Amino acid sequence: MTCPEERVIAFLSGELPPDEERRFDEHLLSCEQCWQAVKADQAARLALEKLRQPAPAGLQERVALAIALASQDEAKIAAGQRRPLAPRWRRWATAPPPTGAWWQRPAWSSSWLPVPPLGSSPPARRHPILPRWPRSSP
Amino acid sequence: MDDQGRAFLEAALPHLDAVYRVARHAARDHHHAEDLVQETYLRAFAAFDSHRGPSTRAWLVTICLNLARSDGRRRARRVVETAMPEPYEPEAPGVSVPEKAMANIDRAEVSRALAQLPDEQRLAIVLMDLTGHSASEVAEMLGCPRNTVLSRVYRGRQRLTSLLVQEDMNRDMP
Repeated sequence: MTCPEERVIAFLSGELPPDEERRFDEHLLSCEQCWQAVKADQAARLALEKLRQPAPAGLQERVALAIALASQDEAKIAAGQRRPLAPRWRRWATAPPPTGAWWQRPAWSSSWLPVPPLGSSPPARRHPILPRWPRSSP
Repeated sequence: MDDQGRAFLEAALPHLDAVYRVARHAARDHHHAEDLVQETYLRAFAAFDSHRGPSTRAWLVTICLNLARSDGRRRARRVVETAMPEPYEPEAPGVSVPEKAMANIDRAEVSRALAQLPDEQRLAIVLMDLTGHSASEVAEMLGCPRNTVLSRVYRGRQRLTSLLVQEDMNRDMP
């Protein structure tokens, strides 16, 4: 026979009325399944005690410093000394174009675009172009 | 630091351990957990004016959980869920709990076993057993009925003990 789970949960949570709790205590003496379930619950709670560790040393100072810096920023913004930063995508989108033509930028530049802007001329070739064959006279 | 910053730290720093425990089980490792805690406190500070709730700890933990979800950090730790039969039937005649084996379990083994639980059970256990929230608070945080929380915690604990006993048996095998 399977005992109702809700009754075991209510017992473990201390939510059974006193007379019901006393009956369940008596039931535990005769029901191996419920007895093992209660024991397993208590064993898990004991094991989980080992994970109740405090925050690592230094984290409190780190958080306090971050809040102090954020607090200073807010004070400056409130005093009008500094404008709040725009989101990163907007800063990128409104950034001035980089100097130099597109072919002069290094490949790792974040502003490099594979398509040259309109009106730009390609670089002169460093190597001489092979001479064309002379056209045949008509 | 201005008065608001001081007031915030005074109200929020006492709950650092609880927030860290939640972050530790939502993030991949302790480095990410510390980043998550710092981000939680910065978000909370930005919204401190609007915080009028009775429990600062529950408020901070909720921010932490939302951040963990949005960053996908929880997904990185997600394990394959193993569905429990409905209604729950303990492995007949119930999980036999050798007290001696449980006494020898160390923290790393408990942490590994906890990571193997289904997400919703692990989260309910972390919030109730590791950070000390009541079932009603957890129900409000997770947006589910209180009985569901109690059921998840109960099933999670049963499974956790079963995993720990299994691990102890595997360790003793030659």
